[in-house]
Amino acid sequence: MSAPKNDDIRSALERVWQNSRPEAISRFATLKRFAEKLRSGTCDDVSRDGALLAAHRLSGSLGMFGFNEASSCAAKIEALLSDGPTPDGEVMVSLVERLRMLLEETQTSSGEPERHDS
Amino acid sequence: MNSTGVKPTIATVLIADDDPIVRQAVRSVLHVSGGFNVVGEAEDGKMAVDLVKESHPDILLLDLLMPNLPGLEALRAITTAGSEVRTVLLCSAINAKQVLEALQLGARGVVLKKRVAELTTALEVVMRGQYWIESQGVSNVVQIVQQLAAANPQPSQPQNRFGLTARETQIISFITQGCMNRDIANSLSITEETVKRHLTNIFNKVGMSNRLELALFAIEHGLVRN
Repeated sequence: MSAPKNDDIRSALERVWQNSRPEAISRFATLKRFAEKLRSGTCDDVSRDGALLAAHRLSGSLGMFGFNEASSCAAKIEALLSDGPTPDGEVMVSLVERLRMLLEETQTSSGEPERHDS
Repeated sequence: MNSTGVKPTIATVLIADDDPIVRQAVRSVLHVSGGFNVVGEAEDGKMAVDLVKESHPDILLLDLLMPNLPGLEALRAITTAGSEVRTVLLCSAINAKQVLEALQLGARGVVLKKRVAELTTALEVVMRGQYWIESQGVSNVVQIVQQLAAANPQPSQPQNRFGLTARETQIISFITQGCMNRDIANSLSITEETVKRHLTNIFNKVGMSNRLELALFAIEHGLVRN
């Protein structure tokens, strides 16, 4: 077997990303709802668990598609949610807003899988 | 068929990740290479253990954070069951301590999700019997231990919590450098038989059963200076 070209991998991942984008947006919506509940003081364990899962999955999947900054932002949200039962509302809102902007950028640019060339 | 007329070996792969998007992306990358056949997908750790037992894949791609059974616990269960599957962790992030633990549990490599473009190369390296750590193929224990030791610094003074003698600690130090019994015997001016006897005592004291486990254990527990 031989390693596929990076272009082939990029094209394959681009196709998966186009199919998966609605699900990624849905995950972001979960985070946004949680941030709003947090700000209004109405968040509960169920919405927090849902947000944690959404952040975890966004962190992993966005990195695969080359959206490293968005992945890193989702990882920060995941870490914040993992820190304790009541994350800082202002920090959460700020991170979710940052993630929204980064996800919008994914509409206009295709990520490039990171490759370490040694 | 390749140019020699020999049909290339197709490695079978099981993908274990709770995120369907990740599983689809991995399947897609492997499909592009043409050298891998995905024989199953698991959405949690327990399912991964069950499917490994059932389908005997050549390679298990295992996420660290999964419901029901975390990745490292799933790996422990798979190793304990005596499976010969080559496990490669595919994760968003991992620290040196987790890499050490994974290697102790029998993992053959680590690929970060953001470096999924390296996946097929990593799997080919692992299928050849090498390890894949920090984006490169590694053929022996020495390199792995040295890399991880550098990334996982220990106290400057070795800690002796296992009743090891000074000579035994000396021998462990040689083991972490990848020395063979003959080299150790020559360096310490003792016979190979004596080295073997010391090793047997060391294994009994620390509860390890082979040199790789001992080297990784020594690094993790600060038994030797880096």
